[in-house]
Amino acid sequence: MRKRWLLLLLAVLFATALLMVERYTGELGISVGSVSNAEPDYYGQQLQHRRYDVSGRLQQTLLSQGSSHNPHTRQTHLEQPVILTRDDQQQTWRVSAADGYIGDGNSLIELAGGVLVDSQPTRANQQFLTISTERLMYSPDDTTAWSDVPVHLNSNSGNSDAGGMKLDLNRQRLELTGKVSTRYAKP
Amino acid sequence: LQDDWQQEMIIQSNSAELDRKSGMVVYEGKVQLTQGTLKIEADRLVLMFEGKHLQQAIANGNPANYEQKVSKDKPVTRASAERIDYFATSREVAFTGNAELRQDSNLFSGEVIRYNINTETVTARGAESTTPGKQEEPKQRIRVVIQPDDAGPAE
Repeated sequence: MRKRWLLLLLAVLFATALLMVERYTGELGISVGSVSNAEPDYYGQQLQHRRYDVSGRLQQTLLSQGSSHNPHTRQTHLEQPVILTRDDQQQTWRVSAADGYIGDGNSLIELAGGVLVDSQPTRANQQFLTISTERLMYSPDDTTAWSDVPVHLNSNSGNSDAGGMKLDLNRQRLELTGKVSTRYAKP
Repeated sequence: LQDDWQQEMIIQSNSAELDRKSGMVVYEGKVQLTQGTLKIEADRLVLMFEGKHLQQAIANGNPANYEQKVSKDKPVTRASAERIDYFATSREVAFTGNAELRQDSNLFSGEVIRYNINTETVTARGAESTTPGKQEEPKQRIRVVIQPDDAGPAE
């Protein structure tokens, strides 16, 4: 009788062990699967992308230290992207950030982390304007940019703080929204 | 004060639009401008720059309010109107539309009041007759109230 109980106990222990092994290998499989999903399917180094206008003149350049595409999030990540674009008065604007994200099938670039927009003074136009923020959406198609987080502006005449902004680089028009405070330097 | 113009100008508003080509900046929504003792409150304020220098400021409101201490020994000058134009080079301010200006205890009111900050001179005008040729009572005449000095009762 005792032998029979012993045999039954052994069988239960063995079955439990089997179940635990099954579960462990199952989790392993899933985590490996999610890791492979998170893995990019494309890597790039020193990306350079140029856009020309209808007359063949260089209009915009997108540079990036590195880029990678993730099929799971359907997004391309750009490391330290820099966008150089020229407005219709041939003044160059430089937009830079720590990170950039472009959704598949989309041309909008979401810039994040130490975003800086600055116009480079020229001999003809000594006005400079620098805008800093933490998040900015940039549309290369019509060279507009907008942000719904606090922005800080610095220019020849003074500086401003606002809760958000819309910028049309080509028309050189800037709209500040959400509690604007401007300080004009002494003349 | 004379050195108001050497002070920093600070403007607060709900929104602003900057046109870099024309050098024009438009502030809208509870606009407050301060520069030294100069204060302007309005619904909308347009600033016109030439390079770094302010050329003209136009404030609109219901009404727009102006306040400034022109000299140390005088009380604050206050004014209000539907529109206030400030001309930086000539240091003149024009108040248009139900304009009122108070200096000490004197009161000027009319359709248009022009105030020269350097010379502290005030010129006021009623509204022109709107129908040409027809001699008609002008819409609003100017009104000036000069308070007598406190020289005590006349003997």
